Amino acid sequence: MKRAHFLQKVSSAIGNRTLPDQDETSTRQNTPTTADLQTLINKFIEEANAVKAETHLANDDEVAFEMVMQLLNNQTNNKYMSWDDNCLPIKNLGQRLDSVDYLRYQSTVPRDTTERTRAHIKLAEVSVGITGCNAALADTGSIVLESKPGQGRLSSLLPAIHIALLTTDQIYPTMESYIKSQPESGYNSSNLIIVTGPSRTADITQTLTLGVHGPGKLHIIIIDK
Amino acid sequence: MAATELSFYDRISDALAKPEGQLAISAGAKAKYDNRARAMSEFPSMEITRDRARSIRAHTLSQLDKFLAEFADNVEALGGHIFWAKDAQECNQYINEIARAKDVQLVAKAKSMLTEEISLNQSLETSGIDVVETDLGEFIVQLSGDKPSHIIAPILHMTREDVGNVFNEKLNVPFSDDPATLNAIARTHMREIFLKADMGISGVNFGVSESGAICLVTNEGNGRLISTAPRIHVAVMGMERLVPTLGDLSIMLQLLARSATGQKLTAYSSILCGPRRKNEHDGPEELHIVILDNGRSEILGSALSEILYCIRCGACLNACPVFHSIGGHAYGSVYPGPVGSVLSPLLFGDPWNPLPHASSLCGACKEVCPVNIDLPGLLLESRSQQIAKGKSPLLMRLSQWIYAITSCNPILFGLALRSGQVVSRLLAHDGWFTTLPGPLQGWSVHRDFPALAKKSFRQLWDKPSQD
Repeated sequence: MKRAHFLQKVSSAIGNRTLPDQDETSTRQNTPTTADLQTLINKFIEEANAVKAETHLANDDEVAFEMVMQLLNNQTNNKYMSWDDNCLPIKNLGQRLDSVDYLRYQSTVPRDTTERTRAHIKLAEVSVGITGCNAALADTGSIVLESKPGQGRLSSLLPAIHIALLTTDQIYPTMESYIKSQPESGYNSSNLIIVTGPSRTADITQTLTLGVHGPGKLHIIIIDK
Repeated sequence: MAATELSFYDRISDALAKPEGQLAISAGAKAKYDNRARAMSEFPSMEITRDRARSIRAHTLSQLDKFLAEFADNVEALGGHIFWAKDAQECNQYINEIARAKDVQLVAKAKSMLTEEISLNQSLETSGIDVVETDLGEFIVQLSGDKPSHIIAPILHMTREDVGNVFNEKLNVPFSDDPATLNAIARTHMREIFLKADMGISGVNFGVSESGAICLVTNEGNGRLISTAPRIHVAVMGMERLVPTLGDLSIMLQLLARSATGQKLTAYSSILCGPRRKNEHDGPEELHIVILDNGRSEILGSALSEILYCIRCGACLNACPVFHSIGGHAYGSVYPGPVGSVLSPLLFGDPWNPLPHASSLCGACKEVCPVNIDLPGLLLESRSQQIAKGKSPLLMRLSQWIYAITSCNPILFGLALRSGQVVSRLLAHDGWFTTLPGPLQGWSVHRDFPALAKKSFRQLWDKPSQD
């Protein structure tokens, strides 16, 4: 159907009608949340834990690096994928992991059809994905990721374990406050992702199980900056 | 959607004859109802947010042509393709054409009621394309050749043993009724499909007109995978599904999650803005968004337009006593429950006309609706439209005619009451009829009918008793 024809049909359907509560401009607004940093951090941790994400507090980069190492050590293989080093809050993370024999898989997927599938199948071997965060939302315990250059989508999606590195200055009280302060995040990349806990389902008799198609474990390392 | 061979009443009888299924549905819907109530009670500004959500929907629909044009312009500026589909046939044909032109063999699908509405899977399968549902519940529905019974929880009607048997038979795995084990089997089975699929197909939870973004929410992560791994992503969007801004979206996402599952947010809210960009690591090379009318513009122009405010959370199903008793399948529509009873006759025609009559108008659906849709009012409006068009059953017209005459005449009304009391005294036991005579007997197959009181209200009013 032609666009003009389609839209004409819609506009003539609307005509001069008034839809129920069309003009009710709600003047009542949510009171903006203001909170000091420590309250925000505590709220974020509480909510993230409630949705079964595991949170870890690190006083500095070194402690955070040790935590990443420890999480990787518990894995059956040494393969991981991640955002590029310059997009992660721990300096030279990839280089340092390489030097202790961890194997970083190339996370850029080729555009060619056959090569693309081959790359996907290879990436499926990886057990851990490491990403940074673009923001976090305290009232829902969510982390926000943008799929910009250097920040692939699959690192937070394909492996069974997702390690997200968050800095304390990235925590916003609510989604509204985040969007208000970063309105361009809705346009910046082809995919803005809000992650609230690990992958889950309750399709079978309302019983919650984790790790259906996305990561079953989500570790958030909160680095004090 | 084609009418099923059984009538609504036969389907209800079928549903009531399966007590295990009925118990599973009732327990599942109750659990979801309680989860929602808890999540809403913890929501500090719930009523304010609900009002805002309602005005956003009303505002969007009142200028839908403008917002659709803005949305389409923005999608195209981002390198996405827009196709305007008048009906199911145009939509399915377009997607088939892309599949043929791009040599698509395997399609991975995220859960979408809209694609069920237009029978997209059947259309692609006829062309020899493999279509795999990736939502766990929908996958089980597909394996067992069943139909979803709830718009959010497709296998609400199944017990865990049912699921275990389906996996055992269709996937050749040892029987297990442990949800975690069944989940792990599905994850392994599905992995390869995600990685090899040529095309991902999804619905759209919300389109954002100011940016041309579409938002998909899934708890499992399948929505993210099918919009990331395959080289082509096709999203089918009902034309009413827009919000003007990202800020509006954030309100809708919170209400949707709390109303649907009692979560504060769904595990993954994925906001997709065009196909993969230059220097990005992954994502689809092509994005096609099909904007579908399929009868919606007629609804927009009708007295039932408010039903288009719906954000498909399923809360009205979970609250509805009729849904609890008969389950989703009995409605014979992709959209069951109160919202489905209004929508189905509008979208699918006369065979669904009995649906709006299957309601006691108790109002539980309106109470839980995140955008406060006046569902009882719409059900009544739908009924009266049918009657105005002479589409109600003969027996109903006859009984309504008799009732109208009787209730307008005090003498006739008194006579009818008194004969009812006589019949009650003769046939009822301990205040209940266990069977009703003649055309009324259907009522008493699954429950008893209360007898008339010994003295009517009018009799008591005239002569108040001394005690």
